[in-house]
Amino acid sequence: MIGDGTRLIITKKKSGGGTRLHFSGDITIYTARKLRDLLAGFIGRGGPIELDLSDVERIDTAGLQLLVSAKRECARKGLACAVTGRSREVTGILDLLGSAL
Amino acid sequence: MSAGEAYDIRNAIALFFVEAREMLAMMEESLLSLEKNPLDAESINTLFRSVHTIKGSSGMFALEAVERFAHEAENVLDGLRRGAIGIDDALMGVLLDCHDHMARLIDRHEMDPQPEPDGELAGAGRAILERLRRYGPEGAAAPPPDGMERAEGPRGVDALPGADVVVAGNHWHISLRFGPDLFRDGLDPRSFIAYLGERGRVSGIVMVDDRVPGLDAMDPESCYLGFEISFEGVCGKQDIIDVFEFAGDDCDVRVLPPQSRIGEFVRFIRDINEPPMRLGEILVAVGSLTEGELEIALSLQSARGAGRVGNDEAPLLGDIVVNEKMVHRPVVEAALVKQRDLARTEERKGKSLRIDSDKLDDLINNIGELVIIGSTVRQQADRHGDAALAQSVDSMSRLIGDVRDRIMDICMVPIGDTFRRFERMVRDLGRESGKEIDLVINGGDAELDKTIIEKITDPLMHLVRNSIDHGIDVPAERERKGKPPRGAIAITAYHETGNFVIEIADDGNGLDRERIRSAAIEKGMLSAAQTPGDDELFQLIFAPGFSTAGTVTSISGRGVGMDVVKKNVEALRGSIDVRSVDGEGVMIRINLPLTLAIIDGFMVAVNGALYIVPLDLVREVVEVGRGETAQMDGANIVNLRGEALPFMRLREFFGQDGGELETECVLVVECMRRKAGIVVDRPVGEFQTVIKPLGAMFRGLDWVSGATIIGTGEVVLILDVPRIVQGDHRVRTLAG
Repeated sequence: MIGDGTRLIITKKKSGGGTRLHFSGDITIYTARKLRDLLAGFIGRGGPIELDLSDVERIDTAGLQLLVSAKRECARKGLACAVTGRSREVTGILDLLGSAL
Repeated sequence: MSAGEAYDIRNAIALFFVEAREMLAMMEESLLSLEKNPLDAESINTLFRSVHTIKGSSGMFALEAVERFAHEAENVLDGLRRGAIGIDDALMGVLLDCHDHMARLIDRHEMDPQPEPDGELAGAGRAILERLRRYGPEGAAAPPPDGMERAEGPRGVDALPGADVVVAGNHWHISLRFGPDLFRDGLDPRSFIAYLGERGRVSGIVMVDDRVPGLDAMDPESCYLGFEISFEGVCGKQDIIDVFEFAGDDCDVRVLPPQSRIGEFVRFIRDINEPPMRLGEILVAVGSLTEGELEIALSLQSARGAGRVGNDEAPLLGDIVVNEKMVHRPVVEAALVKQRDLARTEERKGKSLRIDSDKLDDLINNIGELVIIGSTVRQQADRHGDAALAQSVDSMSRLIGDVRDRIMDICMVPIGDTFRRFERMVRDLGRESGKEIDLVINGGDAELDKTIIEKITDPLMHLVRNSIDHGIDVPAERERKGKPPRGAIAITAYHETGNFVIEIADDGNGLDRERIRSAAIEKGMLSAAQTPGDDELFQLIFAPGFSTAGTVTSISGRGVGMDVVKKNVEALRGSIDVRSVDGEGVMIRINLPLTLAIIDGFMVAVNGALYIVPLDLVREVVEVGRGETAQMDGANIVNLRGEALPFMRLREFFGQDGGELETECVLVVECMRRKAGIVVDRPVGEFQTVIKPLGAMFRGLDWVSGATIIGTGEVVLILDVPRIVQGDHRVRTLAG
């Protein structure tokens, strides 16, 4: 599954009963809306979710907020949601803003 | 006391003075830096540490007056460090005066070690302490940095026991709640927080994301975030609020100053109207409250909350009591406490060694003798013709050269350290005369022999003073002339073909040619008929007693300065040039020849006598036939591969007879980017030797820069090539 028209490519893999989503590119205000829709779809299908952020090149606060929301959504539905892999950009913004993901 | 002990104490005391002065220099440098950047935490720390060190060491050596003084200053600086007071103009002035006074106390003690200062010095000290005390902890007039208020609020909370306990933490607490439209307005919390980090140190931060809904309910373009931050910085409440000013309505900022009381935290928790337990955990996580303090805060908060019946948001008393009894849940997931290393100033000290300069002088003398004997050995080995010996001598000469270079390098000091001392002077003089002047330093890394630097410092200072005093106008006048109100003085240093060049340039009015002319005519230095060019005219300002200053100030204008400057520069065998553009400024250039004590020379013979020319000035040696020379504008020139090279004959220069030779040997030299030729009888070869200064008897010989003794015991003069080339007017004008 490929995000179109934006600099964000999400690759979905089956990973032991669950879904692993690999993000490459930008998770920002510009890709947020699209990402929200995609994530809502994946999470709606059930099963544990893995978010692989190791190739995220750009992330802003709106993007981070969206990921927080995604985790919260999983928690609400009782699904496991883990973040595996953080690119340097991701750890950078987490450190700066005092957030854990 | 035994002789050994007495020696140790003297040594220790000598060391104290050196270090105390270093601390004072550090203090002054930090103050000047703070003047430009009042929020620089590192400068404040350096400032505090320098005074603290002075206090400690002067106490050890029983300089009580200095210790007492430093102690008072330290109190004030502690307040500065904690952010309780901010640095303003008046405080800057007092602290600089403290620095000056401590310097005087130390100087005086060095000359005359009496415990108490007398008379005038004591009185001056008392006056400064008076002004200083107003900023101390007892001082009522301590000016809090603008806008720092204690949070106002109903007395209610404060009346409760525990409310007035001051928290242990030593930093600001900043609470941010961003509005929903933040992202849509094109803003991002990241930039504000990064900027905050530049103004000080964010020691703890937690993102408050409790209001972020699940994916279905959230609008990706709305902002639901807040932050709790503990912040160390030297500033006022308004300064922090200003950081977020650009966010306007999109950000609610609440600021709690350092050493707030618990009651104020309670007010804050109440005001934010979020679940207090959660908020409390965050406050502990970022380090703004200890767990004990939080307990007190929460119990106070619940005591307040109980009174607000009917408010849905107010927590039920029961909940709070139950929650309080719980062990505080560590907020591991949500809390990240930032650890950022403050650059340690110790790193700046680097790896260096204190050396007794006498020992260094001895070493330099030794290496000088080694060079001479090395040259002699080489000559003797040459005559021997033994190949193995020649090779060994080669290696030996190379090694001697290396050792020589390294020792000379030790004596070289970056000139920037000296230039930086001018900053204080520029600041003070500028203020005195109501002018705003920036000092720009270029090439501070360029290195020069320490003794030369010591001799050139005073002349440079005088030139800078002149620029401030006579060159640059007050801001109003500058604006009238279409210039920026702040004037600038630029000091630039660099190496150039055998010279060390220092330029002092200002963007003031430039030299007034008419004024100089008329003053010169008045003093009889010029006749009314003469119309000298710029070069000659400007050199007149260096004549003794010459001054065109309309007003004589305390600094300059008495006409005793510039001639001394020129004399000092010439004593170093240097030269000084002046360039000026009307209305735009003056540039004074000082050339100092880099004749090291040990010289690589090129030996030549003229009329049976030997002379040495500095090797680094020699470009090549050519033989020129009689027919190849010509005359142009009265100067001799020769065609050097298409270039017209002016030359002069040393025999003529020495007033000796030459014959007309069939071929002449021309030494092509280059200095100050100009080439010229010097005709000698014959070249002898490269020769490395030590320059010996000539005695007073020879001071009139300005074409000689020194002498040396060669292996045979003969005395050989070293030619001052730039002088010779310049002195020959024909060569000079043709070379440009």
